[in-house]
Amino acid sequence: MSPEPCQVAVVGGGLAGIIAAAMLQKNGLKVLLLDENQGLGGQYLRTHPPLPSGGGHFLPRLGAGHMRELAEKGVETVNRAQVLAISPAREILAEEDGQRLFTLRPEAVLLAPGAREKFIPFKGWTLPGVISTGAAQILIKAHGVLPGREMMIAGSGAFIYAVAAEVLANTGRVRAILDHNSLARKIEFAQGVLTMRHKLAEGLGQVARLLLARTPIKNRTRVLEARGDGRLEEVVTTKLDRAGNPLPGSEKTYPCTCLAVGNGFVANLELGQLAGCRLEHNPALGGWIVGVNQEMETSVPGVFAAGEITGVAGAEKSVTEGRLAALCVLHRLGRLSAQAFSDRARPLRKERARQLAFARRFNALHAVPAGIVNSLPDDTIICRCEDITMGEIREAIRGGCRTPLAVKRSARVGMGICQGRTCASFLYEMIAAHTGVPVSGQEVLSVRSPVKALGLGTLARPLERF
Amino acid sequence: MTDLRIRPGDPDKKIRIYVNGQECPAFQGETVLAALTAAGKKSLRKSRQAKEPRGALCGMGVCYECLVAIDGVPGWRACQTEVRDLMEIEIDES
Repeated sequence: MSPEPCQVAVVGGGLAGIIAAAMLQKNGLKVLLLDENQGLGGQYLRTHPPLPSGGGHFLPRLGAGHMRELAEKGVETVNRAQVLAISPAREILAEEDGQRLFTLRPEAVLLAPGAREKFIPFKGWTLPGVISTGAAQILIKAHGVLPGREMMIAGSGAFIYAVAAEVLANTGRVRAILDHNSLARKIEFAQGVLTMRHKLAEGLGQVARLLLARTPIKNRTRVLEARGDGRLEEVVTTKLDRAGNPLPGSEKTYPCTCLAVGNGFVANLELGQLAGCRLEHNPALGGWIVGVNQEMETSVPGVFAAGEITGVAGAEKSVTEGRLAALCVLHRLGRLSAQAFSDRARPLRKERARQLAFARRFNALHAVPAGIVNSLPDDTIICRCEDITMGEIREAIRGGCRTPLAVKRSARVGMGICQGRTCASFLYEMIAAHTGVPVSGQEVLSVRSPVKALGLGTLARPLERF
Repeated sequence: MTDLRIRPGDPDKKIRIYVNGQECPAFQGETVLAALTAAGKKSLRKSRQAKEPRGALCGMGVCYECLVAIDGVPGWRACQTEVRDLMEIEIDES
C-alpha cells in the first residue's frame, strides 16, 4: 500500500472506470482503482489477470489502449476488491479477496460499477444448465469454454443474438433463438440503428452468421418451462399474443441441456444508494439509475458516476462518460482550467446525447409485457436465494403489500445472499402488474452495508487506512 | 470425460485440481466455474430452503448460485475464484 493517500477512488474497472483512471493519473492525480474481478476490463473487455500481455487476441479495440496506459502510468489497482460501504461523506470501506479490510476518504469518488443482467423468471429456470447470456459470453470469450455443445438462447433484445453469434463462431451449435418480441418490433428498432454505422455493421455480422448456420429464430416466443431431473433436459416453448400471454396449443418441446437467458441489463445501483445519491427511474435507460448532472456528478457533492450506472447504453457511452467524468474531476481538483474543461467536455456531451438516444431504442426491446408476468404459474421460483415462489409473492400482494419493501418483509423475497440483485427488477414489474402502480412510482429496495457477502474472517482483520 | 474447451488449453498453464476427489483438468488464469463447465459439471449445490440442485446463473459474481467449497472452506463463488494447482473443490452433484 502506498504511503500517499489517494485523491480519487474509481470503483469499477470496466470501460468507464479504466478510461477515467488513466486520464486522472496522467494529469497528476493519485488514483486508486478498485475492481471486483480477477482482471480489469469489466464485462466488455473481460481479461485475465493482471493485464493483457500485448493485448490478448480476445480484446476488441475499444478501451484496449487504455488498459495498457493504466499499466504504464502505474495506476494503483486492487483486483478482487469489494467495496462494502460508502458514505455521503465519501468514506469508503473495502476488502481485498477476503484478506484485507481497508478504509479511504478520497477527495472525489467515481462510481462505475456497471450493470447486471435482468431476468424474467419461468418455471424451472433454477435447473442447472439454465445460465445467463452474460455467463455464456464470459465462458466463451474469457475462458474459451462452451457452456454446452448445443444451446438454446432465449429472452429479448440485441444481446441474445450477439451471444448466439459468439456460440456459432466458437464451434458451438444453437438449436433455436427464442425472442419474446415480434419481428415488427425488432424492425422498428433496427431502423433506429441505421444511422449508427458501427452498430449496424456489428448487427449485420451477427445476422449473417445466424443465417449461414440456419439458426431458427422464433419470434414472439418464450420459454414456458424448463424441465429435467436435477438438471436441464427439456425446454418447452410457447408463442405469445400481443399482450405477452401464452397462446394455448402453441407449445413445443425441445430436448436441451443448455439454455442461456437474458432480458437486458439493470444498473448496479447499490453503492450509489449507500452514498445517498438521488435515483431516477427511466425505463428507456434500463429502469432505476443514479441521476447525474451535465458534469457526471451525482446529487452528492464529490461523488461522480459513469457508465451503465447512469443508464444502460453499452460500451461507447461508458467510454464517453468515463472521459467526461475524468475531465470534471480534473477541473474540480484544479488540474484543468474552466476554459479547457468546457472546450474538451462539449464534444463529449454531444456524443453522449447521441449514445443515449440509441440506448432508448435498445432498451425498448426489454420491456416486460404484463401478459408474461400475469401468466407465470404460482409454483415459479422468483427469489432463487430463498426459494420464494410467485404464489407467495402474489399472496403478499393480495394481503395488502403494495410496495417492494412491504412484499420483501412479508414474503422474504430479496432477503437472501444476493440481496435481491437477481429478482428485484422483476419484483417491481410484478407489483406494477398486480397493483397498477408503475415501477417509477414505487420505491426501490433499500440497501445496507456491507453490500456484498463478507466472511467473518475478513471482518476480524485489522482495519487499514489506504 | 466431457471436454467443452473450444481449443486445447495451453500445456504450459496446465494444472491439477480435484473435484470431489477426482482429478480434473484446469488451466492457470481460468475460474473454477470455467474448469467445472469445461468438464460438464453443472450441478454445484442445493438451494437453501427447497434443497433443489442449482448451478451457475449470472457468471459474474452477482447471484451467488455457484457457491462451492474450496479446500474445505464453503461459500466461494466459482465464477469469481481462480483455479490454483492442487485446489480441492467440493460440489454437491447428488
